[in-house]
Amino acid sequence: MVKDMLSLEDIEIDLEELKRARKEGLPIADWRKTALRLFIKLCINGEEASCDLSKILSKKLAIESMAELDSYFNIFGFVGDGEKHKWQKLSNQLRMIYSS
Amino acid sequence: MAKVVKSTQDDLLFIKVKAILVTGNDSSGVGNIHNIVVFPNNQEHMVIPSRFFNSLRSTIERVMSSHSDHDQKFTIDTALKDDDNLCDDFNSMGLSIAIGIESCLNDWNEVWEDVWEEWCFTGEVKDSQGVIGEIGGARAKLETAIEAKKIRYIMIPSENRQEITNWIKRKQNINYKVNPSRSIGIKDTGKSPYFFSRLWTLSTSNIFMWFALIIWSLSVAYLPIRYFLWDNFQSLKQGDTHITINLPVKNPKKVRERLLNSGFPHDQIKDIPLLRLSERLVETNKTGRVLFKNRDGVIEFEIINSRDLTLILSYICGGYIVLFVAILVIASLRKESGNIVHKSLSINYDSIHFADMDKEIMFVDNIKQAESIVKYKIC
Repeated sequence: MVKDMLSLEDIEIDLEELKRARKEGLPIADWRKTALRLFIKLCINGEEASCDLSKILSKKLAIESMAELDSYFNIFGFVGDGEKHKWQKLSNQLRMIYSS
Repeated sequence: MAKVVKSTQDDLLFIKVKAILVTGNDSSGVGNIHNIVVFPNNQEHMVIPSRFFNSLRSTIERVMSSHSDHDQKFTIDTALKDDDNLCDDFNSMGLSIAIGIESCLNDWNEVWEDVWEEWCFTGEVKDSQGVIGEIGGARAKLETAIEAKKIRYIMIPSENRQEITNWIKRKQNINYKVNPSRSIGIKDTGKSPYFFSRLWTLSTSNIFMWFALIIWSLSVAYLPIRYFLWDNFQSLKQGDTHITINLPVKNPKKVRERLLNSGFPHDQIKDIPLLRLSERLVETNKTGRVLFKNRDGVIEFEIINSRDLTLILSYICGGYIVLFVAILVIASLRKESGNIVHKSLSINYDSIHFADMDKEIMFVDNIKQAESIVKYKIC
C-alpha cells in the first residue's frame, strides 16, 4: 500500500512536470526527459505482475497521462519498434482504466 | 465475494458516447462504432490521439459556442488509432461530442451512465449555432448501428432522412413504421442559477456593466464616509485649530469633549451656546454645520452651509445605488421568468421505428433538439 501511494505521488509529480514542459515548449530536452521518465515509470508499473496499473492510477490520472504522452509521441516519434510496442501496450492499459 | 463498487462523483465525469465512423474505401466503406470518452479537464481542449486534434478543433469549438460556454475545456478520446483507414472525416463525430459535453455539463450524466450503450450518434456540427449537417456514408453507418444488439436509438441528421428512407424502403426484411413529425414537451430539470449568482452574472456581463458596478461600489463606500466621517476628514484637513460640527447638535457633551481634546480652552468651551445654535436652525428650518476656530486661545465659530458639493454628490450616489440595484433585480427576475418560459418549449422530430428490432432512428437538425430528445427519453 505504501509502495502504491509513493508511486502515485511520483506519477502525479512527473505528469505535472510534463504538462509544464509541453506548455512552455522549450527546451525540448526537458520535455523529452520528463515524458520518458513518466513513460518508463508507467511501463515498469504496468509490467510488474504484482502491481496492477489500474490499482495505482485514478481515471483522471490515466486520461491525463494518456493525453500528455500521446502528444509527446506524436511530435517526437518513437525510438525504434520496441518503444512503439510498449506505448501501444501502455495506451491500451490506460484507455481501459478510464473507459471502464 | 464480488464487491459492488459504487461510482464516485469523479467517475461520473467520464462520459462515454457511441460515434459511428466509416472505414475502408469510399465505395465499400464499413461502419465502425467507437466508444468515445469525454472528460472535462479545466485547462485546455485535448484530443486523443493528438494527431486528430486539428481535425476536431473546430467541431469542439462550435459545440462549445452553441452552449455559450467557453470556459470549460475537455479531453476527448476518439478511440481511433493512428493507422485507422477512415473514409469519412471526423466532422461526423460532432453530434456524439456534443452529447458527451452536454452530459458532462448537465445533471443527467448519472442517468447517462446506465443507458449510454443504447444510443449512437452521427452528425456534423456545421456552425456555432449548433446546426447539424448532412454526413457521408449514412447507409453504412446505419447498417452497422442496426446490427449492434445493444443499440436502441440511432440519431442521424435530418438532411440524410430521404437517403435513409429510400434505403429502408428497398429493404424487404425490415418491418418499419415512419412516425410523422411529433412534438415532445421538454421538462427542464436543470437547476437555474441562484438569484445572487444571476445578479452577479448580469452585473459583470459586459464592460459597461463592470464600469457601472465599480461606480456603484464607490458610491456605497462614499455614503458612510460622507455622513459619518466627513467632519473628521474636514477637521483633519484643517488641523487641530479647526473643527467642523454638524448642526443641530444632538449630544452637546460629546461635542465639548471633542473640542477639549483638540486643545480648545476649557473656560470658553462651556460658554458656547450649542443648544441655542441648534434651536435657531430648527426655528429657521435650516440645516448646517458650524466651524470652530481656535485663534490663540479665543474660540470663533461660524455657521456654514452644509448643502455643498459633497452633499449633492451623496444624494446622487444614494439615488444611483438604489437605481442600479433596482434595475439588476428586475432584470434578474425577468431572466428567471424567461427560463421558466423556456422550460415549457416543445421539440419536434421525425423518426422511423423498427418494430421487430426495437430500434428507433431519429432525425435531428440541431444540437439543442438532439439533447432535448435524449433528455426526454432518459430522464
